[in-house]
Amino acid sequence: MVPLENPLLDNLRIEPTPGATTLVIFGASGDLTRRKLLPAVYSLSRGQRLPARFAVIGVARSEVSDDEFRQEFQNSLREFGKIDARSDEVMRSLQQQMYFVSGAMDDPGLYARLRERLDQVGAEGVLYYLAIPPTVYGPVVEALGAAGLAGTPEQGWRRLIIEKPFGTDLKSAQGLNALLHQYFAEEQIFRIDHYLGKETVQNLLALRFANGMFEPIWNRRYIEQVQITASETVGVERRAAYYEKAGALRDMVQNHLMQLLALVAMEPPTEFNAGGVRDRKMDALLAVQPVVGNGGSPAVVRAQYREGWVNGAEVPGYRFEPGVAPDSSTETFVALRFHLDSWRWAGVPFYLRTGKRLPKRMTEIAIQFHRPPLQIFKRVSPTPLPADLLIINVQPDEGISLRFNAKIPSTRMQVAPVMMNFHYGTTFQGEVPEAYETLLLDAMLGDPTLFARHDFVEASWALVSPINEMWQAERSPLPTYEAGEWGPPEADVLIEKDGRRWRTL
Amino acid sequence: MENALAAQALGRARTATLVAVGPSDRLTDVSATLNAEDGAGALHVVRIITDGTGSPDGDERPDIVTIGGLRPEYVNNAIAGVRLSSLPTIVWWRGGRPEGLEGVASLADRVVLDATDPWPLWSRLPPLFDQTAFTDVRWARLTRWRAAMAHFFDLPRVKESAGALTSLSIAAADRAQAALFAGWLDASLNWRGRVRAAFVPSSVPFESVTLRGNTCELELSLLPDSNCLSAEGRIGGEVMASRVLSLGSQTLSSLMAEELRVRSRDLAFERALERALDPRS
Repeated sequence: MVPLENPLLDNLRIEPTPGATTLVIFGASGDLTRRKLLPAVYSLSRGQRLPARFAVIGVARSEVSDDEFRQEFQNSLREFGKIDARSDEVMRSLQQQMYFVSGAMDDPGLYARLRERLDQVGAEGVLYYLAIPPTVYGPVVEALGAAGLAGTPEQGWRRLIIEKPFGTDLKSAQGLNALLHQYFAEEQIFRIDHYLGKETVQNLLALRFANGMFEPIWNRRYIEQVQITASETVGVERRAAYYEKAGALRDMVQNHLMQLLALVAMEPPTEFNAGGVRDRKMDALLAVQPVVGNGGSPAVVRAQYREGWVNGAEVPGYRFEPGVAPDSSTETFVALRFHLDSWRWAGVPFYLRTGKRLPKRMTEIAIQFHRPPLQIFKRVSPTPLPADLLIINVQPDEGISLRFNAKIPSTRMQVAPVMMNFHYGTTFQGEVPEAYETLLLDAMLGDPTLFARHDFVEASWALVSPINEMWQAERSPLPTYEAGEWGPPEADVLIEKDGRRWRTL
Repeated sequence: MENALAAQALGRARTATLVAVGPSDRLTDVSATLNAEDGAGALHVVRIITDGTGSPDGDERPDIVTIGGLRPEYVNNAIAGVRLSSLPTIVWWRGGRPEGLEGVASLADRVVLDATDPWPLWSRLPPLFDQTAFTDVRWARLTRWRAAMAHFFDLPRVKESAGALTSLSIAAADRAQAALFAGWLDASLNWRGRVRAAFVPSSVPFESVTLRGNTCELELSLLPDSNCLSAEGRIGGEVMASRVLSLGSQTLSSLMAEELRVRSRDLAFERALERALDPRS
């Protein structure tokens, strides 16, 4: 008799695959499905990460046949996966497991047809992916619940992936969570933040907790400040309708940057599992002090880009972008400072900045250490030597760099900063999986470690919503910055008041 | 372009010392094999020629160190001299005197066997398993086949039928590879001779695997002119799973790249090999 666990998976280099799974994509005709989800499914299949029984059911309002959906799958691979898979037998085999169900999202008939399809493919595990606008989350979740498709069956499982934004403020996030929890238990819900699927973000956990040398210095005694930057060169592109309502604070800070902050600030978990990691991240977030209503002037700056030059090309101002109101007050840049009230971080500022139409596309976390207590090289270097710095490059050149001071070879004592670099692309072989591959697979496996939990989402909104409310009440004009600059002068003032400067990137 | 420039500017962090050991004609493609992978620059590469003083032909990376003119029994001395204390040492054994393995085991952190005839080496391995981590390129070639077979056993009905399996048939030109696969199944499913393996000659190194018993039939077969395999599982005539899977790249470069990512002991390989060597299996 073979034991319950599959012994053939022992020491298999291809990591565990989920049990029989059907992926149901709501919004299967949409951009996210074509750009990210279908190529991710194909890549997982090529890497043998899908189970022996796997199917995809696309759901959308548009009338699409199974064959048309299969063709759409092939087209998406060519267009977005950069794969010409026409002669690919794996693709053809996967195509045969793809189906489509058409109908309006609030039509109970759609869910009856979906149930029929699920029965037909013999689904044991079902993963619903809501690749639809957040306004439709409610009707779909309610309809799934009403149709009896949400609860965990005796054999198999039902899970739900939702995309950000998880609400637009604290109240709406609480409302969304309450709605989801009516039909799905928290362990069935996977809130996707694609930043968490990035290799370097996960490597931050490895750097901190797989090494003995960093943890002892990862605190206020040795760290002077932390700067987290997520800059984009692009403007609002085709997302004006969404971005006008969101802005940089809600689009980037509430989710991605708060996740990065929590990963830097968290205490070590006792185990690398969902509960351990997410509990410690939550603790870190709870230690973050609000920037509004905390006495003094709020340490936050917003701004909007005006016309300028980026990468040698002239670009229009935000208010001249298609779909943007000519008098828009949406911020495209945010800089702010958080303090954490904890033994580890008391007195260490965390500076966050993000924006569009900045000079460079990059996301990095810079940990700056204290300077030595005594400047013994004052005679040879009258200006203070740069502080030691640990830089975690999240994108585009994923890696880790350490800057420290060293003697320049000469008969004199001359000291200068040097960098030691670890670069993923040149050090490790093989392709780095796309974030969506990692996250889709984790959801199929039921591992929520890299997904946002409801309390984290709400705690993050609790920090961010008051900032937005303060801005809504403000009457002063919105600061602007020239496209291609690192934000407005106010952002420099914010950090210079603390006697510090933004890193020049 | 942006990434390439950044990579150049950032330099490379070393991950391991790779020592390729073998006769000169087996070391000509070391450079080409490793250069095919982007991450090869992260390796400190050394070649040790076991059959003469000449340098192997073929293109060479300027940073590859080549050592020749050694007596075969002193291969371990050469490895001791070139290994870097702060990095793992991986020996890529492409040939040489099998007895030399014993001296190498205590110096290497991992040994990847890649010999034309593996049996004389394999028979020496079990006593060395506690000294270092061993693997074989033939084992790497089986990874995708093993995964495809393992996924059948995720299906509850297949798992329930596993006890009733009675016959295994493997069609393969590479008898050693077939024996390794059979040994892996035997060890993992604890057959202890209950299921007898039949090896069928083939024109390709590894062509198909069929497991049968009672009403259950699990079949993996290489698709003609393809780098894919078909996986079909039937119970009582009902198809439980049927799909086509990619075998990935089976080039030596890719297989070595896979091996270089592994650092720990591969207990599945060790158990599979012991069963493959066991005349009762």
